Amino acid sequence: MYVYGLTAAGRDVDARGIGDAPVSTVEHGELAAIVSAVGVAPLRAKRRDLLRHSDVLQAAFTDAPVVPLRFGTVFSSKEELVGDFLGARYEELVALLQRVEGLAELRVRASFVERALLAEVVRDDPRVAALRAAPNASQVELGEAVAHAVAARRVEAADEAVATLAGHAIQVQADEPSSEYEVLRASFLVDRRHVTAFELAAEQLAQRQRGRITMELVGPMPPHSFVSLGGGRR
Amino acid sequence: MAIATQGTASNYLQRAPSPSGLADVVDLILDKGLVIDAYVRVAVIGIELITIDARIVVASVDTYLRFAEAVNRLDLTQTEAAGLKELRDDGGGNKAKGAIEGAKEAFSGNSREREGAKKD
Repeated sequence: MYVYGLTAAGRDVDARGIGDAPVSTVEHGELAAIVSAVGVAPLRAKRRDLLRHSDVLQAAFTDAPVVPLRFGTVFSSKEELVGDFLGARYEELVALLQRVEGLAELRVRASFVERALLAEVVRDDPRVAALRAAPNASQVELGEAVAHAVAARRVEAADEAVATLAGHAIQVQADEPSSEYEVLRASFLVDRRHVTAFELAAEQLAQRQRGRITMELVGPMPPHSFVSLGGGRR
Repeated sequence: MAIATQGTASNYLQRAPSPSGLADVVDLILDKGLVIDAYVRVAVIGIELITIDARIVVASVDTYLRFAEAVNRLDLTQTEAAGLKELRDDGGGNKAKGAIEGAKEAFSGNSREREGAKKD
């Protein structure tokens, strides 16, 4: 039995899950686990299945609080799901579900436009300009100078973005950059009533940085980045 | 799932209501979310590979050489002209979308090359 996440008891989730299996819920007290039948393990982390996991949670999230589980959580039976998880951690799970009620995650990804950024660096950084113009300059040295200049601009731009957006959020969680030109990859926990204000702030930021930084906003979605159990592993 | 832009005042910000690209789902569905005790998480084939590929080493000689090559390639007169044109046209939307599609491709493809870069 594959588990997508938790929601409040008394709701139906109308969706198709992994392997196109119909989604249902297993209730225990105030909790409902969002589940579907799954074939034999091991499960493959295919793009389609990852998207299904996300879509099922998104469908539940339109009108209810949702605690998303990480991909790949499987129980061998309904009894095991209730006994080992819903029942065993009942108090904590109810508290967690209450904590995320009315909250959403918005994820921002921002990256420098390579050409615009490098042109800026060559123009504004005298060391880079000098090394670039010197016929025998060490390419490693030149690249390192560029890397430092890029890193400094990244920190500055990321700080500006977080400062602009954090005012509309309850919590911020930034990930390590995953590419040379990435400025920010961060999740913001936002009160659903403040989502519009957050979106507007993000839009204004993107407009200010147009041509220099591209920005993408995903959400509002269930708070994937903001759920953990005390004593549990993250 | 298409990237939705309606309901927003401008096209400078790319919007998606839920994770649609591979990078997003790997970030959110594989890396985040509640983890219960380890034993209930079945062996999921492919996770280790995908997550290792997602990490890129920023400070390495390899990166420096790529940066050097990129600034050497740069034609400043062209870039300034393009920048001005963009401001004048006031439309970075299509370009940004192209960049994001490109990033997705880069993400899903060529894991060998990345692995190679990581070892350096």
